[in-house]
Amino acid sequence: MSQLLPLMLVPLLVWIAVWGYLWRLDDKVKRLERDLSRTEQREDEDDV
Amino acid sequence: MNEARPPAPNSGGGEAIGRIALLLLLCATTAGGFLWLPPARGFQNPALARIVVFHVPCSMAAYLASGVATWYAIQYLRRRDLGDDIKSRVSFALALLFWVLTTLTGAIFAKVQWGAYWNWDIKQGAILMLTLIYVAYFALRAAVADPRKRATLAAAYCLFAALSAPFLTYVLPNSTPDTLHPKGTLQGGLSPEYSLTLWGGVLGLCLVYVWAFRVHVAVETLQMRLHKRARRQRRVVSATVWPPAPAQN
Repeated sequence: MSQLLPLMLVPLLVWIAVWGYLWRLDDKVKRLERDLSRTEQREDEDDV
Repeated sequence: MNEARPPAPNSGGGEAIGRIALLLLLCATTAGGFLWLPPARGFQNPALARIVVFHVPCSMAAYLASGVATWYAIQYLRRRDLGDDIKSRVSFALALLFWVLTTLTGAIFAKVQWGAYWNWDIKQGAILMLTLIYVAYFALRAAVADPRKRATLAAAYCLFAALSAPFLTYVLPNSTPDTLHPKGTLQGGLSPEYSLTLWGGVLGLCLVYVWAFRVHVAVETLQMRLHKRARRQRRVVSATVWPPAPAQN
């Protein structure tokens, strides 16, 4: 079992990296979506 | 053109809890696979045969991603909405990623059980063919410039590729006794500990797929909106500078 412990760290680190990447990307996308919607709304109001 | 809308955002707190629960599930199945499961009986290397709890979930997630890609390819052919094309392409890319992971974990499994990473077993040959079929989808997309034509051809090819997946990974290897790959592992061949860890891994990887799918579709949709906006602004600029000023002599 002690031999398997260091081996286990590899998939664990991969999971944490993938999870962190998705979390950051998800937050960034939502922020950009909000900014873009606000800008488009402002442009539409200016056009009117 | 119908504009693809990003998936509706969930409530912040609930979503954060879901994300943390997913990480815990992934870590628990990994720790369970390495530390809790007993060595697998009936294998040449019982200790390392536990990789089955990583190998099988990868193929399950690949099947799910292929199914979703096919669904949106059919939707594109029915409605001609480029948003469906984006979803089909994103899911197809994730399916390819999971097929590659299935092949890699299978190669490690083969090394510890059969002594070599690649044995030209019928299942290994079939998954190599399948991976090449999936790679060709992206070559096809890269070869067509017109977005509508590209989406239609890709959707038709996606149906062919998705139909070949169960044939190459299930029907063909099970039609011959001449294979090293174990058969019927999931049909009552697993102990309760293995079942729990394996299905936990399947759930975790499928949730990772769903999350990655949603995020990448949102990225692609944002890019499409920005592209449309830039085109609109270019039109406005060209309209304001028209007609051009007469040349001064």
